[in-house]
Amino acid sequence: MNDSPRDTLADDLAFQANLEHTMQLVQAPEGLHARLLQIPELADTADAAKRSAANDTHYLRRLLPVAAVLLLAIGVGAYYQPGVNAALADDIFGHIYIEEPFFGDGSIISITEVNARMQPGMGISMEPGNASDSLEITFAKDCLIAKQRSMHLVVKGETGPVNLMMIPSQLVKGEVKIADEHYHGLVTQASGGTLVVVGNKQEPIAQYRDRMVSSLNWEY
Amino acid sequence: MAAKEITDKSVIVKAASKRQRYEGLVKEFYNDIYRYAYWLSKSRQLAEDLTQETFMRAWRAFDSLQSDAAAKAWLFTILRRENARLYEKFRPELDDIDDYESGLPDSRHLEPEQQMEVRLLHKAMASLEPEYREPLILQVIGGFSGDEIASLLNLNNNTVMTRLFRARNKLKAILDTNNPLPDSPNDE
Repeated sequence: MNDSPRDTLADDLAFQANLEHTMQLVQAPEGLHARLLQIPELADTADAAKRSAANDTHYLRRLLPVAAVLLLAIGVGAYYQPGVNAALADDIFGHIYIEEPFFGDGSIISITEVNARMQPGMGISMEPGNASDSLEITFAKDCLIAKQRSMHLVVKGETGPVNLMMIPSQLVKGEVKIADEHYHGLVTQASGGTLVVVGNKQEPIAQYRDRMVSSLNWEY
Repeated sequence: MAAKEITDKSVIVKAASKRQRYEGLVKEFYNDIYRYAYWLSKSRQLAEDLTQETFMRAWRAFDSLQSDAAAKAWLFTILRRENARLYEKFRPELDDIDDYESGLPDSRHLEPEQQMEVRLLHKAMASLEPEYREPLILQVIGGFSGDEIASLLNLNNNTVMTRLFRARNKLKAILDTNNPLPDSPNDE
């Protein structure tokens, strides 16, 4: 026990030095620096795609009355929620462009490994079975999507990688279609959250939504 | 035609200069930004995403950065706002052991004793209230003065100095009670 002011000061300084030393021991993960250097290209690409999508939206707006009648007539399940979806789609596509260079070498990740990362923090799990076993998962990372800790998986598709994202809150009602100049996707309301499926324009993405819907358990 | 070429060249030079400035900022600050994100969010996954989001926003708003001397405080402010936005929508609590383990930093590069120090401090910092934790992290990781922290947190200088003093004492008490850091002083 130290009582004198000088000893107390020395102790305080030693504690501060020790604290600084320990906190500085934390190092940024390998690969982060390279990813940060790629941000200008990725951001500019995403912004260009967003501008292109905005132009498309402007053009489509003139067709909206016709489209509305058609939607009513044919009773399409996927519907348009412009306020919610512009920001959400932007977030989803932006996230894919950032992560795309790091999708891995094609090694398969097991459902057990995915559940080990997904279940404790998000309360979401995949049930082994025919639907999920047929998915070849090559990338699994918990990420910030729509400002929430979410799971981002990539599976092998028929024409390229297919992105599957599980967000632990319901951001849409029913199902919403999203697209930019490279990708198209489905954002689907699930029992305890939101499922996102995005692939290139040629990829038949609905089948991945169906397989995921039947194999996912949402605890909350 | 000549004027157009000069304009094009000046645009290219400006873009290259912007890119170089950005890369310079990444090189100089990315480790500090990651550390700030890590100690603020208490999770390495969130820290990684927050760091990426911070530099993404920084690049998009790069023209608003008037002076490179202000870059550090600017980046810390962006990250702090991103973290606040995240917590407005979702409050991940790293309570259970699996989550706690996954939140620890990658410590493969550390000696076993250093790994233990980081783990103990991680646990102690997690139990420190945010109003104490945040100024302390800004001081230790960012190296900011009391005035600078006051400006970043919109507090007055006296409040910051009081919180820093209490933060250190609370942290000492937590560490002394539970798992003292090797060589850390005991002021009890």
